[in-house]
Amino acid sequence: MTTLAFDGLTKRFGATTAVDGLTATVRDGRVTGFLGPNGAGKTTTLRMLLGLVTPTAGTATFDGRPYAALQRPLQEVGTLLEATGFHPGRTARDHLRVLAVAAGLPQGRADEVLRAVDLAPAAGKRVGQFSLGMRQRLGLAAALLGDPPVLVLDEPANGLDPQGIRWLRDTLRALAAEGRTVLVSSHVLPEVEQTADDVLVVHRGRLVRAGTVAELRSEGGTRVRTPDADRLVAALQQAGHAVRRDDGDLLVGAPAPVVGQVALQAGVVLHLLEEQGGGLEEVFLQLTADAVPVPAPVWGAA
Amino acid sequence: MKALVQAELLKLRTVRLPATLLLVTLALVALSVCATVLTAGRTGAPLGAHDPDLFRVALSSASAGTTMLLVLGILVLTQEFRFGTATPSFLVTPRRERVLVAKLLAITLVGALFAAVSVLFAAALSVGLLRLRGLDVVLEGPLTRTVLADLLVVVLYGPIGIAVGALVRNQVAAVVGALAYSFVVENLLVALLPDVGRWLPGGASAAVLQLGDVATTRGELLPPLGGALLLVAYAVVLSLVAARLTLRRDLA
Repeated sequence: MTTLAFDGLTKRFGATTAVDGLTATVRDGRVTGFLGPNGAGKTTTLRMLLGLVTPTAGTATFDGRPYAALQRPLQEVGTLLEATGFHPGRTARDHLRVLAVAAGLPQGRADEVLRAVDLAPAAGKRVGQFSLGMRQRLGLAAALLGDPPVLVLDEPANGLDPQGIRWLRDTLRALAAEGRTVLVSSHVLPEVEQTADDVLVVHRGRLVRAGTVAELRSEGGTRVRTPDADRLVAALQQAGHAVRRDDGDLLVGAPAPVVGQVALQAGVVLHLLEEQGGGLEEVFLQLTADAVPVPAPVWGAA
Repeated sequence: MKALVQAELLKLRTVRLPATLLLVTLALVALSVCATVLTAGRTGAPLGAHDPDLFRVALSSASAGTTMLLVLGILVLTQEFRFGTATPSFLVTPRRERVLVAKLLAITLVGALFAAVSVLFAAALSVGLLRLRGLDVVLEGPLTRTVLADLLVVVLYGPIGIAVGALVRNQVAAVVGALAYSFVVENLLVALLPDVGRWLPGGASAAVLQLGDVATTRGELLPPLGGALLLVAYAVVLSLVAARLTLRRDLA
């Protein structure tokens, strides 16, 4: 098992700071969504993690080792970057055979991973004839070549049709279920929301939020309906939770179990207790909205 | 390193480029053999029809492939950046200079193959054309030395191409520049400024080939061994500079 760590990772291109002091940990055996709008610095961060781009400052490591220090990189970290990196005149199988030979893996792995990504029928086709979705699958096949415990995937859903996205989701779940550490970036939250355990949200090169999906989801707030609103508001405020009245209901800046506990202790009857759906997306949008640099946890904005 | 060289050879085997360049090489060899054998003895030609050196000079047409090896080397490296395959290459082998060394070794082997095929082809074509003209095939002079010199020159141009490609990285600029240089600029320099020309790759390969009066500069060349060492030095120095300057750049 491998833990990925970013420590003060910074990259400046001239006057532009693409990644700004990013410090975060990716826990092993979990799927971590690396979220942020386009241009937030996700790709640059991942390329620094993989030793392709040299950081201006800071480090990115696998169990304390930079990528360049890995003895057998392909067997330790599987990588899918944007869908380039293929010679258009080379077949899918040959592309993988080249990587396998260089990594000291048996060439037969090429056909095995092509089957794993449902690309076996196109194994002998030149990559120049591939659609974007097929290239993504081929990229994922390359990532799986060394059967690595860690996967780093940059926008793997790009170019996939809806079936492809569902297939990707199932594949990521299966890979995580095998105990692999998966770091998957995306600028589209729903792509990773159902797969990820943890999320890192970056905006303008800075980490604006790190936490579990469950935590962020509950930050959407909880809707409560009670015939005794005044007493519940007082109890909640006394317990330090933000409360707002909304169309006869209350919106509380706390997860449902916490609100339920407060209500029980205050002896207040509840008719409705519901965490706000779509909370994660709202949090994501607010965290990455230009007007809001690093907001406090939001709630009940619906 | 063995696995890396094998991977580089597999890269070359799985695209069409090397076969295409081999055909172009053989066409150049054929042109050169024809020019030597068919013009021999005619007005203005450097060799008479019964010159004992005729077969040897025709045989040395096998070195016509140097430019194609140069181009192959440049393309092998610049295509990695053009198609982005440098990213997977460096992900498998994060120590980039190891990839460079593997490419240098792989193209040396490919160059040996090109050279061997060129020598056999040049020999067969020369014999055929000489017989066609009713001339004798004179197996005299330092034939073995000529064959070895052909092999050596062709083999050494591949690594120089790799190094040039690593330095320039822009495919079009590198290939156009190399072709313009080796077909025009260098010939002019060797002819007009022999003091400079003998130190250029073209002067060095002429020194290795030592074709006597046929060489573009007379009596101005380095000794054969000096020429060979100079070609090796070009490949090594350019590779070291590239490893230090261009290969470390970010792959963004």
